Amino acid sequence: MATSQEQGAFSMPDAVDTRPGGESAEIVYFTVGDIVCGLDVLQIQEIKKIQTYTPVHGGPAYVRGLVNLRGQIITLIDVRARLGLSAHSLESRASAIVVSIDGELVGLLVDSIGDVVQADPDLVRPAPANLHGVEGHFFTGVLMTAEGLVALMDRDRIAGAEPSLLGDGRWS
Amino acid sequence: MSLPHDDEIFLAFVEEGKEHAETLEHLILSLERGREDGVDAVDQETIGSMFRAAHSIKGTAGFFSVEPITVLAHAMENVLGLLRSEDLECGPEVTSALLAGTDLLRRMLEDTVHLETVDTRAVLETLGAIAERSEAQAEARPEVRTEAPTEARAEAWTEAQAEPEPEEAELGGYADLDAEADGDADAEAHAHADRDAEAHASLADTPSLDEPGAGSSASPGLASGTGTRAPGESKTPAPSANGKARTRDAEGASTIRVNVAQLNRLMMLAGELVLTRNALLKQSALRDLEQMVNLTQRVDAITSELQDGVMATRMQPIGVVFSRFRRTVRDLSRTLKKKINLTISGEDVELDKTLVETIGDPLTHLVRNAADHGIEPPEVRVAKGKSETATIGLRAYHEAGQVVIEVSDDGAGMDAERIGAAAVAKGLISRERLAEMGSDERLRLIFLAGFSTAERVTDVSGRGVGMDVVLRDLTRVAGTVDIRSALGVGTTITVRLPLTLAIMPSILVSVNDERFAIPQSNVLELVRIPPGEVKRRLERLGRAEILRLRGELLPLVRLSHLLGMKDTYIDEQTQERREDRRVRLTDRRAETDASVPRNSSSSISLTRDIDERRREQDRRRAPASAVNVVVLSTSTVRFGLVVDQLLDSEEIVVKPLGFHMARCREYAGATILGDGAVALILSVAGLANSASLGSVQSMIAESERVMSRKPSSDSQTYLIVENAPGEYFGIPFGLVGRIQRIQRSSITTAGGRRTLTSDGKILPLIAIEEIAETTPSPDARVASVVICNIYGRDVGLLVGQVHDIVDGSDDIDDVSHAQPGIFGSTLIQERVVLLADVYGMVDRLIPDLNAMSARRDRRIQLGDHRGDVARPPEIPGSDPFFGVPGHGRDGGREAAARRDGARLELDGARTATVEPPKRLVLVVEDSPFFRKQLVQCLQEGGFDSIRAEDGQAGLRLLEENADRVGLVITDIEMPVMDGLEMTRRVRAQDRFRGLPMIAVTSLSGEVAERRGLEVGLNEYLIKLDRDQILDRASHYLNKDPVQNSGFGPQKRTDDARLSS
Repeated sequence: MATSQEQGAFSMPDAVDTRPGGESAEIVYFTVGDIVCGLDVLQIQEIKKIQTYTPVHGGPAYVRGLVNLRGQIITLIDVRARLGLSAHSLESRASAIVVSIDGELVGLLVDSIGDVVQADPDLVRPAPANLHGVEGHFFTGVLMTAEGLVALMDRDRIAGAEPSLLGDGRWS
Repeated sequence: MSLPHDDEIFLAFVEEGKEHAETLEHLILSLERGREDGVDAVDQETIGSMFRAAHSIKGTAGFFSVEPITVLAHAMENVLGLLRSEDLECGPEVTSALLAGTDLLRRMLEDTVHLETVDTRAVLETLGAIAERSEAQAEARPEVRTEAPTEARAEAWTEAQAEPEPEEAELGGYADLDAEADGDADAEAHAHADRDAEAHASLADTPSLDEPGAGSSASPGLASGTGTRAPGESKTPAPSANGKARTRDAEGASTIRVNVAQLNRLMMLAGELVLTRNALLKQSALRDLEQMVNLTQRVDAITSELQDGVMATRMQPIGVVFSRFRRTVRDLSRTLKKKINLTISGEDVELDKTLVETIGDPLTHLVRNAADHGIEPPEVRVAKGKSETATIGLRAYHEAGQVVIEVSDDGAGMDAERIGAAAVAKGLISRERLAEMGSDERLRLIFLAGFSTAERVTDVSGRGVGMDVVLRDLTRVAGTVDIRSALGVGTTITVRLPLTLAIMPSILVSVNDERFAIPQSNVLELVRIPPGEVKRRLERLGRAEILRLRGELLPLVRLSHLLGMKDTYIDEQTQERREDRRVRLTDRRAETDASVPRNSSSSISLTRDIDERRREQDRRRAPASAVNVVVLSTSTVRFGLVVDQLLDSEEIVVKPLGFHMARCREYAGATILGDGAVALILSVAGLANSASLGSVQSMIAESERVMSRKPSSDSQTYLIVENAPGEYFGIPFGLVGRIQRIQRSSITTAGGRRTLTSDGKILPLIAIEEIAETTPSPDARVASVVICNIYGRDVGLLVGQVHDIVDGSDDIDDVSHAQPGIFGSTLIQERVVLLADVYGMVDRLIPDLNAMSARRDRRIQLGDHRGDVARPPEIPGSDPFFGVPGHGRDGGREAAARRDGARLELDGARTATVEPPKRLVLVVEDSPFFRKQLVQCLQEGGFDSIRAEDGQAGLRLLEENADRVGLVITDIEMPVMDGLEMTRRVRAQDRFRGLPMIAVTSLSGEVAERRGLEVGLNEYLIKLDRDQILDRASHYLNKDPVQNSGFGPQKRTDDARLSS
């Protein structure tokens, strides 16, 4: 398991059993640190390679910066930082999964992008409280595959605003 | 009824009808004002115009068979006809009914599709009743007037209360009035009140308001209590600050009138663009680079023109919004029982359509707040000595590429202390944070969400109902809001808006190779300080860094610090980027000389070689980078932002930041630059906020205050020295020439006087402990000498340690610590600081200095007969040194002073033979301390003075002593009447046209100076520079045309000393 993860998502499980019946979802695999994650393709607008970005100094720690996506400015979320994992420099394989939150585009910076596979809903289990040291609430569940667990990411939690952002800390 | 809603002619009718309705309302209101002002005679011309407006609406509506409008316009026309023929008196009930009619007309015209839904019955009945009654009016009126109103009001009130349905309530109200045969405005207003309360309730429910309470608390409260009418609601059917209203706006009001010529121009430009594009495509296929460059330039030009043209079609005069406030204020003044006069200016200022639409609600809020909370009840105003009628001012004007809208009132003002206390009490800020805040910042607390929700706010702060919503609305359209308020005087709220939202001219800067855009509207200027000058031009004030820019102090903030970036600099030799470890920009070498906090800036020229040597050292050992400063301004602060590089200016398209950055106040948005990279747009107001400018800010506020001429206290800048440990002295900074660190061994003592040899000159040294009873400075090896220029001579004040340059208030205790050499004490940064009286010390310790300097000057005069140095100044106004005010702050002052001394000496020599009659100096100064200092100083110069503590008293005194006063020395900021106003009034009198008038002020700025000169001040002097004051006094008093001899008594004392 550990070795396959180190090789990144490209060597990830070739398939989950795809059962006829259309209930299965298409999942994009990607890696964040040691964790193999998945996100439903229907939740994704597009995937973009990231070469440059503009940092936002003074912004939330998990905001890596801003990216020009064909004339639209999107916020790049450092998923590692958001999950509380150690940050790292931008890798050549780094890509952003662009999702839409309340009509606003947000890019999720991940380490690498893997394949798109059919996932069997029956093999999805609730997320444990803690996954590789990451709090479970960032995930909707885990998908069990032959090669191991794939953490299904909660798009709204990972790309949405921080819950503690409600207050206005300006004057305190 | 089927109306041709999209027919062009019909639309023209609607537009025209709206304009007529607008005219009607305007005229009715002016009629009402006239009546309130006691003008009984109804202006026939006004009535005529109103009649014609109603008639036109009726006519065109009849043409289109829009029956409800026709009928209503007819009824109004009827009443107006009776008014015109003077068969009907224009009482309040008549105007109210007409206004109600106008409202309905407008509502129907705004939404012609649903005009059946507008219920006109009540108003029709009222109007009908008025018309019917008019014949019997003459006899019936007196009785009806005396008995009916209270009853009518009561009944209408209960009905309105009882009826849950707002339409019905309104109807009930009117029906009732009708029955009672008297339309009291109050009753009607009550009926409206309920409708409004209802409207507001629905408003509060909509999700667009974060805090339902904040938005609606004002109006229902008002409505149920007093029955005011929210103007937004009464004019347009949909309530405004509300999501529904917006969508409705988007659908309903999505047409715009464009001048055909303008449209043609746009068409032409579009055509040209197409042609150029075709050519460009062709040339790009041919790969003809030169041609392509040409074509690109054309595309550029056409695009800009097209952009301007399209923008212009969106521009609308702000008067569209302003005009509705006449009604708002009229209604408010009635319901609040306050007399309010609305002044409007700048209606022609044009704004982007979206902005015009957006600012309506915030402005309404501000105007209502001003009327409701800002303005005191008439009896209170009278008690305070104010005019019973309050004034609310609405003003729009262009400034620096922005549109500025001011809502001002002359009411009670806001109490920053109480606002602060309230904010703490509500737990919005901590007590510590409050303590750090200046009063401007405290006023801004009312913008906090949550501040305005509590009911008690109106009692506590007098302001603040839903101000957070105002701020949010305006911030959304890139506007800023600032408050200025003086207790008892009034409040001005300034809203600044961009001309348009879409495209913004901006300046690009870079820090650490990252680029940022700064809105050009906030940029005052760009300053590049070359490496060699950094040390000379930057100063330190406490921990803050200051740039002295043409006499004004500008706090500097490093952008990298604000954004939490590492500092780097570009090595000018290698062009490499290196990490910058300097703590301060002024640090040019590793170890800093703490005793030299400030090197120049004062008017006295520097010891040249020392300075140059220091510069040499700096260059060798320190990062030799230039400092680039962007001078920025918001309405409250002005500061310099230090960046690595100043790049281009570029027109940028503003894009909002994502919700993740909602808390980043430093940024106003982001943009995509020409090369495709994303750059953040800096929010200048946000930066100013997060930079804790602290005391620096208050200094800036001080200079701003001077410019805005608001009454408040004076201040004086002091050099703080610590003589013995724990004993602090303040030396008026105007006297300080330079500061030198010396070895004690270099001091020589001769004839009981210590001196120092410096640059081949002998510098007399004095110490505070020689005259005042204080602890002597410790006998350390190294001492500091503060070199002051006294009577044109340099005198060294030997002190222990130099600390800082700070601003002290005029709150000076001249009793407790006063003794020879000390003129008083003040509290600076919670420490008692004794204020050194350098002149007093010199007079006592080196009494000959005054004479010495005179003698020396005479030598110069005798020895040098060339040029203007020795030329007697008999031609007034041609004096090369004194024609320019503020000359003393330039480098050449020493020379000027010396030459002047020579000249004065010459004057003095003749004075001995011709003793002219004494000329009186009028000193106008509110601070007792400064007044005393001035008078004393003049006395020493041999001038008698009379004193007044404010402009009014000064004016009176001047008039009483018109034949004796030869010079006026006045402060600028004073209570009751300030110096500028006094000058204006003095100058208005012919006999004082030529009277010399000098302002003596603590902080001067170019603007203030210019203003002063405009009103007729002869010059501006810095406070407590006695030398200069005496100098000018003698200059003016001697030049007085009455005394043809042209010589005054000023050097009498000197002569006495000379001859003795």
